[in-house]
This record gives sequence, structure tokens and C-alpha cells, in this order.
Amino acid sequence: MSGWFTHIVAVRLAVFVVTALIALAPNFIAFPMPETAVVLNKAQVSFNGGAAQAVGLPHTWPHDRSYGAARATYSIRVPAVAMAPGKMLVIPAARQPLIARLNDQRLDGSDTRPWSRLATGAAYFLTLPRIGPPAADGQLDITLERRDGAVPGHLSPIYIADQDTIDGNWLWILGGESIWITVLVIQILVTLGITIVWMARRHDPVFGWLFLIASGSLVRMLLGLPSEPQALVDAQLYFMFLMSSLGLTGIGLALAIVGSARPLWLQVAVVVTPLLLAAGLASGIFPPLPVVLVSALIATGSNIVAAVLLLRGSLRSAEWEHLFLAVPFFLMGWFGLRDLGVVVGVVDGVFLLTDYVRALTITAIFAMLMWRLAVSLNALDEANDILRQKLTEQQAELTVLHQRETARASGVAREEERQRLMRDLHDGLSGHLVSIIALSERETADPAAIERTAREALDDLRMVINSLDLGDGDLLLALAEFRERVGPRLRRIGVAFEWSVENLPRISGVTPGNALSILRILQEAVTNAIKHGPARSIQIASATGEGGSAVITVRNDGVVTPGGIRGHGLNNMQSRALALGGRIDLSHCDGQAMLTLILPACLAES
Amino acid sequence: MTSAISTPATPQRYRIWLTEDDGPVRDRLATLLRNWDGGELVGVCATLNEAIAGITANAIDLLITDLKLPDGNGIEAIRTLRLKQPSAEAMVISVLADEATVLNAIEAGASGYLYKDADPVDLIEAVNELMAGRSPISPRIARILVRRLGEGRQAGAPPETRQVNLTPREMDILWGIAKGFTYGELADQLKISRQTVPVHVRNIYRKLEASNRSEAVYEAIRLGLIRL
Repeated sequence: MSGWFTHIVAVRLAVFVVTALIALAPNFIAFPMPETAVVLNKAQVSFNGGAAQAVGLPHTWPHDRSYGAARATYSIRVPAVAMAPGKMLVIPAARQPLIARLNDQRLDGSDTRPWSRLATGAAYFLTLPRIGPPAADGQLDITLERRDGAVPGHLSPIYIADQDTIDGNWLWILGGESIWITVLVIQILVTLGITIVWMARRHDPVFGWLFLIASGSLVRMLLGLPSEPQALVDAQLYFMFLMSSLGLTGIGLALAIVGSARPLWLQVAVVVTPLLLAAGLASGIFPPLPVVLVSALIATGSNIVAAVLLLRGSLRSAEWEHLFLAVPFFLMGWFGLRDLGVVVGVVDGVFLLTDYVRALTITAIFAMLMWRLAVSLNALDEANDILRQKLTEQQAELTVLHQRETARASGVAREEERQRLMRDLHDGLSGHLVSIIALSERETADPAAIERTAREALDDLRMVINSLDLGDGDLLLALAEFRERVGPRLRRIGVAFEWSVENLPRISGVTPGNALSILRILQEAVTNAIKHGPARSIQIASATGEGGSAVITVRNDGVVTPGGIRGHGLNNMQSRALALGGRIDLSHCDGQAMLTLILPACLAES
Repeated sequence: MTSAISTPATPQRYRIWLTEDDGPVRDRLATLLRNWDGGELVGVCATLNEAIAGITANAIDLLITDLKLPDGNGIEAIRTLRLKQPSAEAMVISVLADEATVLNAIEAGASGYLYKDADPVDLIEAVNELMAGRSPISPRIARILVRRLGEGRQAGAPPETRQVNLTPREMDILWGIAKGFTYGELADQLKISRQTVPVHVRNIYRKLEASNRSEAVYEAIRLGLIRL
């Protein structure tokens, strides 16, 4: 626990130290000036074509310049000794677009660069023309021209140095435009990414505010670029008010990230503030400079508020995401204040640094997005693992349940089959054995009757046993066995026996119990025909009845006595047939008794 | 095969040996056989050892034996008979004639089976049929044989699965009986004589016995009981 605490404290300390170093960097980083160069630090300056006055370099425009276009021309004498071909003119820092002429010849590299933020300060490396040996001192004219805004122009001392001296000087970073193009491209990509995420996650306020900041600042940047047409240049002043809106959006983002509610006034202010400022300016109530300063102050103050909110959030939740986002917001505010100081002449500085810090903000936001992506993917993996584990557990549980259910079902089936077997043995074998006992106990025991009953007992036992493995499709087999057993015996006692079950339809639901019931009905019919008839011929035939039912008829030529077959035997057969879902019909015609067994296409569960 | 088709020119008394452990049943069957002109009861016994001794010592035409004997299984007696007197026949008597009993007996070399409660007519008819080269087969036994042959023919069946090469006609008969057709219906369908059906059945029995014997030899070689 203590180790974790130390770790957190160490990270916080490191962040604070790095932030402080960045914030204070302009105070202790000095521009590396070429040591062996000729220094030009005296000039005659004239503002807007007015009277020239002598100034020393570096020189910053006096602060009585109000808002809008302004131009200063610096005339500098270049000693002849410095005018060697192949040397370079180095201007480490100049605010506002710069044009340099040597003896009325424009120098390469001083062109206005549309992608650059020349108003915020840039370094210049100008090639001196390859002219012949110097004959006289040269005349260097440098013009700083402010098209709009309130940033006062600034010109540092000017150096003339060898190419070798220039190489290895890191100032070119500030002079190159590649850095701005890179920042612009990155900003477009990040904005695109944020827009896509926001569209897919409309419910997530963080991405809503991020989208507002990213898209707003991209619009602001793109609107600030053009130098044509004049109408767009004139409108730049109004575009500046977007800064206030973007600053307020920063507060919204900070609140969303730390999970606090965003007050309604904030959302209103994001829209209303720039409109109010623009209206105040357009109506002429406020002069331009104070309005721009107010807008910049709102932006700067908002950044600091956002930084404080994030810092407080990070102290409460120990989320490093809050802490790392607090840094760029703080630096934006801090350097915004500094730049304001530079503009109004309170702070002594050369470059305006807010735009450079904005690149840092974009980087921080990008890092946050990537971090969130990684966290989400990890959470997804974890969720997948948990789900998979739960699935495995549930499958195992289901398997156990299934096994238990199967065992239970087979137990039930076994029990049902046992009950059925017991019932069938009781109905058949037991009854016959009891009869045999009774017959043999008679004083005049009739061996023939005993033998007949014993054979019936054995027949019934065989029927029960042979039915045990019958299933669907086996009814014909069961009937064939019946025929095999009954046929020879009938013929032996002189009863003509005809058998034809070829037309029997295939019926389903044949189980051992069902098959046994059918066989017993037929057995009873045959026994009755012999016993009560007595029949001299028996015909068993089959046909297909209504709805695919099976019709089995047992005809005999015996005379049916009223009390005989209509008694207990028929009731027995009828109840068996009903249990199967069928029925028994008894009829007489042409001196023949006919018993009809009708079985449904699908036998009922018995 | 010739004996299956031709009948003896002169009336002949079949020499019969009866093995049955249950006294009353044995007496009943022995009486029935003694009273029959067509047969001569050479010996009656109650145990497997007596049966084997009797078969070894006496020339007989038919062995009628129970399978569950007090000192062993009647199948051993049938095997001994097939070995010592290949031309003699064997018939199994059983209360239920369940499929396991019947099939084991057939594979040991029996050609017929009879219920123990058979009346005199049944007994004489069964013996006559059997001695005339005809064997009975119940639909249930036929069904089991059909299933077994189907399994043996399945692709990938182990090599030791018995291969019984039945002729198409024999297969037709087996199928028909398994479906519940009578011999008469079957004969009509196949356009053969009704008497021929049980002859085919006898041939099926013989093939089953042969396949079982070759399997037994194979098994004996595998176990090292026989050295080639």
C-alpha cells in the first residue's frame, strides 16, 4: 500500500517539475547568437511612412499602436566588411511578417509564408546576394507589416555570419514552416478521429466536448490562414472571439473528464460569449483592442480553470489521465497570460508561445485517446475472459443437469417398464399358474385341462418375453411370431387357419406393452373361437381403415353363445383396445362371427 | 447337400441320443421317442459328461440336447458331435428358444431347435424335417441374422467380424422371414417351392457354423492354442 502511495506521489512530483520547467523555460532559454558574426543593432525606424527616428535593436513597437494594420520600416547600415558573398543574414526573432531588402534588392527567405504564424514571432535566415567585392556600405531595409490584430512588431538585433556558423543552430525550427504544417496535419487527423469516436459514442460527454474543442480550434486555425480576400482578412478580428468559446469548452471537457455535471450556463456561454463580443465590437460600443483582450482573457482564464478542475480531480481519484491533461491546460493558460503580457508590453518577450503549447494539448489529447483505447481493449479482453469462463461453467452445469435428467428419465422408464412387466405377468402367467393349482387340487383332476392351462401359461410367458424388444415397425414381426405359435396348433386340432396380414398398414407407437396388448386380444379371440364356437375354421386378415388406421379381423364359423364371448373376455379385449386408442367390434354374417380390431395410425401410450 | 434333397430309399430308424437334466421332461421326451417307429433311442442321459461319453462311444444320427446342463453347456456336446460324427445332426431343446440360445446352438453346429413342451406331433415333425435337410427359423432369429450380416458388411468393420457369404436368394429369404412373411408367401414371391425355403435356412445355418468355426480357429491360433 505504501509502495503504491509512493509511486503516485513520485509521478505527481515528476509531472509538477516538468510542467514548471516548461512554464519557466522562456525565462532561462537564451537564443544562441552566432559568436563570430557582425552584429547590426542600430536602425532608423519610421512608422507608416512617418518621420524616421533612431532606435537600438532589439526593438519593440511602442504600445500606443492601436488595433489593426500597421507598418514599420527599419533602415540599417551594413558595413562593407560584412558584405562578403555567401554569408547569411540572420534575424533570430521578428514578430509580424518581415520583408528585407539589401540595396533595394529583396532577399530570398523573407517572403510572406501563408502557413506560418508570423505575427507570433519567427526567425529568419536570409541569403546575401552573390555580388562582387564590396565597394561600399550597404543599405538594409526591413519592413514589419501587421495586417491585423494588436500584437506589436518586434525586431531583434541582426547578424551577418558564415553558412557554417548557421548550421547547427536550432533557431531554424522557429523559422521553418514545416512545424506548422505538421501541427496542422496532426490536428486534422486527431479531429477526424475524435469526430468518428464522438459519432459512435454520442452518449459519452467527454467525446462531445473533445469534438467541440478539436473542431473549433481547427476551424479557428484554418480561418486564420488566408491573407486573401480582404473581407476574410478583415473578419479575422471576429474569428479571434472563437478563442473565448474554445476556452470555455475546455472547462466543459475538464468537468466531463472528472465526471462532474456541466452547468447549463456554461453550455450557453460557449455559444453566447463570442456572439456578445462580436456584437459589442460590430455595434461600435467597444473598441477592438479591449474586446480582443477580453476574449483572450476569457480563453486564458478558462484554461486555468480547466487545469485546476483536472488537478483537483486527479488529487481525488488518483487518475493519471486527469493529471496529464491538467498540464497542457495549465500551460495554455500560463503562456496565454504571458503572451497577453507581451502584447500589452508588461512582459518582456519575443515569441508568442500559446500556439506552440496548443500542439502539446493536441498531443496530450491524442495520448489520452490512445490510453482510453488500450483500457477499453483490456476491459473487453477481461469481459471476454469472464464470459468465456461463465460459459464454460454453465456448460458444465448443463452437462451435469443433463446427465442427472437422463439418469432420472431412464430410472423412470425402467420403473415404468418394471411396473408394466409385473402387471403383464400378473395378468397372464400368475393367473394361469393359480388355475393350474386349482385344477390339480380337484378330486377328479383333469390332466387335459391342467396341460391346456399350463400351455397357455407358457404361451403367455413367451408373448411377454418376445414383446420385450419390440418397437416401431415390429408389429409384423410380433404378428408373425403369433402365427408361428398358433398356426400349427390350430391345424393339429383340425381347425383351418388362414392368415393374411400383408395389407396391414405401418402404424407407429408400437411399444412392448402395446404389442403385447394386441397379441393378447388376438390370442383371446382365437381361444374364444375354439372354446365357445367351437370353430372349425379361423381366418385372420388385415386392411387399412380410415385415416391410416389398421383393421385386423378374426372370423370364425363357430356359433357364439350369448353369454360366452360377450362376457368377461370381450370386456377385457375392449378395454385393451381402448387403451391403445382403438376399439373392438363384434358382428355376425353368413353364419360367421367376426371380431374387428381397429388400431389408430399412432397407438396411444399405454 | 445331397442328403438335404434326397430322402432315404428304404425306411430308416434314426439313432437318437437324448440329453436333458430335468427328470420328468427327460422321461416324457424319451417316452415319445421310444414310441416312435421312425426313431431308435440309443441313449438317454442327464449330464454333459455322459453325453460326450455317449456320443464318443455310439454311432448316432441325431443328438437332442438341452443347453443348461448341471456340469456344463450342451453346446460342448454339439461341438464334440460335429467333430466325432460330422454326418450326425444336432437339435437343441429349450423352454423359451430365445435368440441367444438358438444362435449359439446354430453356431456350434445345431440344425434345429424345439420347445420342451412340444407335443408328440411337434417332436416327430421337427425331427423328420431336420433329418430331411430342412431347418426352421423364426422371424426373430431371422431379424437378428439380418442385422448381424448388415453390421459385418459395414465399411471399416474389424477384420474379425464374422463374414458370412450368403447367396442373394438366402438373403431374400432371411429378409422375408424377418418381415413376417410365411414360408408360403415367401415361396410364392420368390417363385420357389415351399419346401425349399427351410433347405435354404439349413444352408444359412451351415454357413453360420462354418464362419464361427473359422473364427474359433483364428482365435485359437491367435491365443497360441494351435500351432500351424
